[in-house]
Amino acid sequence: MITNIGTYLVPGLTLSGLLILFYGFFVAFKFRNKLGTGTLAEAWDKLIGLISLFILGYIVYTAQIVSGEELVNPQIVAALLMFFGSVFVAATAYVNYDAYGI
Amino acid sequence: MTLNDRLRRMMDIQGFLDVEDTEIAHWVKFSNFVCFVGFTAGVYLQSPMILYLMSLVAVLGLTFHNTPFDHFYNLAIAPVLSKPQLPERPAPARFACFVGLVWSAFTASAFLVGWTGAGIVLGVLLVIASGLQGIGNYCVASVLWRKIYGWPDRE
Repeated sequence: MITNIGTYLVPGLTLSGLLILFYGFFVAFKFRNKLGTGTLAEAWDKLIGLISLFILGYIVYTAQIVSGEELVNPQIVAALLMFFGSVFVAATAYVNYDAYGI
Repeated sequence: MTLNDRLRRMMDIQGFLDVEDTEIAHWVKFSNFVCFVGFTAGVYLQSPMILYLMSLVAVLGLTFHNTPFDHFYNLAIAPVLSKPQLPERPAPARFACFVGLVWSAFTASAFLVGWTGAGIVLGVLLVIASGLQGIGNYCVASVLWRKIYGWPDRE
């Protein structure tokens, strides 16, 4: 149930998250371009792809919440974000583990 | 056939530093032109779904270095017409995919939320920018990239 607080809290938090994602994207993109070519660069391309997918998901989710329109079921969008969030965490951990070779 | 000065510059701005063939330089625009058509349809119909789908195409282009339309060209058009394969999209061109993704998603959201005026303004600018790239090979986002990161770079 969305209360009055929820009405502002949900889009507010999501949009704040979106700003942080933009920052993360630019840092990741800058870092990736210093890597040139190779396996690590390709892995970072996939991570950047996931970040951009999150950006799209956050925008779609917020727009649907604000408009009240159901273009895609918001629960499906939230579930997809959670799923790809876990993929992102696992991939980031793996890339770091592989890069440092510890 | 080698590139003329203008086309060479347009290719360099987008990061296609190794492209020397005019034919490849022209076919690089194929995906951009299809995106231009998609954006135009989305804005004309004021359809959030089409514009969100175009954003998803941009995500794929950003992630896999070639858009689905590039893959379609490489797999279906190039072999049939005996045309050269397209190279992977370098960093400035991928950054353009990101700009297209965000721009298209915000335009779609404006239409979805009911801010039709903002959607039309954003949409018309998006169509102009993608038209410049799809028809004239002038990529606004890549120019922005060059202003931020300069050149040359390791792409």
